[in-house]
Amino acid sequence: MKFVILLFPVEVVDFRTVWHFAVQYGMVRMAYMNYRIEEHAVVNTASDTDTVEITVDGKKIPAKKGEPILAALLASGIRINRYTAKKHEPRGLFCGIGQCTDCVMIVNGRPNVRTCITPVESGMIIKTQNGIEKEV
Amino acid sequence: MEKREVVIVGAGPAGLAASIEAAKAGAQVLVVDLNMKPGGQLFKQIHKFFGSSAHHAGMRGIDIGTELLDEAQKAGVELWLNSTVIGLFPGNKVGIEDGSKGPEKKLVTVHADEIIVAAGASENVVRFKGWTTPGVMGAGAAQTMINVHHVKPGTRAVMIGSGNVGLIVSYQMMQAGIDVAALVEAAPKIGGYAVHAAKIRRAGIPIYTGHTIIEAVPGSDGTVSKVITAQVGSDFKPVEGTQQTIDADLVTIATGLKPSTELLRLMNCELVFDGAFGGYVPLHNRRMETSVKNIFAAGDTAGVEEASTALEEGRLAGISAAESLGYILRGDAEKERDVIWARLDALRMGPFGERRMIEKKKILDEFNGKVGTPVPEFQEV
Repeated sequence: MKFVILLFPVEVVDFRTVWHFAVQYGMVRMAYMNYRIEEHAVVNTASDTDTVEITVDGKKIPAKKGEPILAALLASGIRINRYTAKKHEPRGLFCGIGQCTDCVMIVNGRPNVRTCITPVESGMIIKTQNGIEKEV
Repeated sequence: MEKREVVIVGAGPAGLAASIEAAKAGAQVLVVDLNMKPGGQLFKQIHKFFGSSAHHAGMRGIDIGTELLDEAQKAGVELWLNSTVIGLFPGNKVGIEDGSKGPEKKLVTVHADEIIVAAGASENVVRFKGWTTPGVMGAGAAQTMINVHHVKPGTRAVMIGSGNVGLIVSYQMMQAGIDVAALVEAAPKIGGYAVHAAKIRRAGIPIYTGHTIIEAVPGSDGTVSKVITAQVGSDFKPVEGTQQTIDADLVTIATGLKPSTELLRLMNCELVFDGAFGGYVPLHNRRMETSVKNIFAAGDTAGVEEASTALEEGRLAGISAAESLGYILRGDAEKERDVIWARLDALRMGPFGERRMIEKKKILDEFNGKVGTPVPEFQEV
């Protein structure tokens, strides 16, 4: 479902309550949410890194230059990085430190790139990987 | 072939502490780490440490990491990041996939008089139906995403395991704004410290002891949407009719760590199984030297413990490596080691630490019995 339908006038019900309700009951798809941690009691999450644009399966999403590609994907609610060769099962983040290779994707035409340890560069073209793709 | 006096594998707390001690004594030190940034897991530890001031109590891991890096830099330690040690070979050769000079990695061999393996540990995994579904991940992966990259890997989590990692990462997920639905623990008791468990309980989050995860159920988008848990009997098998379903899009697994001893295995270092330390650990002496001369182990690689013990073991290894090279006199090194071992004993006290203290003594005894080289050769300058 692509749209949020406001059932109540904004003046009557706090928009955040409606939004929360909508998310809770699956009325808003994950991909429309922001998963960045903006405020934190201990960690300074403020960054002066440039926001750039990358393309994921043809769709443009914002990303912070230098962050792992995987972090940018998670920030936009994208949690599937590849499908397995035989059973076509989805895989996503598992170890987050470049050990398990479950998050590999095709980055700028190059397959089998571990997105959890590969930094974002402006204009990257990223594609979901199917099986073990051959390097061209 | 390139040559260094000391090569250290891993720039975590143990590796950095070792590098500082060895370099301060005058040795030429190279630290190799496969990550983009040094510090190992310290920069993910946003909580305050316990112990006395000698153990950095009250400091957060991130601050300890910054302090260590600063000290290592001042001591003149050489650091290769993005570089993986792919093997240790006879004749003290270290094979390195060097990525420190640019994006194109190059294989180089470095000869080292002394090698310190401080490679850390890796997470254990439990397998259940749907464990490969996106949204199921190691607790360390979730911790990396929230504390280092500041993104949430999901919105509502079920934590598997109630050891210190499970408890601390659950709390850190809450701090990051992730809803933690429950903690599931197969053992009849909570595994970690009571102070950490209290933080979770105060927030009203249930810790289901004597329970296990049965299945992670994918939703229509292919990622986790529900988690099925059940009670377990004394045989750790699920009890029929006790299943419950929890709405969650994130499953984090914190079921312990095991020492990364691969490089030590390659060198035929003698290993011994010890449950208190997470699996196979190298036999070593008070100098942290393994059964193979000039090969040292420190930190989680020598037995999974905490960052504070890793720091101390790293110092021991650093001092001992410098001693073997002749930069520190045996008497002086022995004195410094006595002080550090006293601090380690203090860290290994209490109901949680005592077992590790006893097991560590066993490892030292077994080393002396089997290897029989209590005092290694060294040169004085």
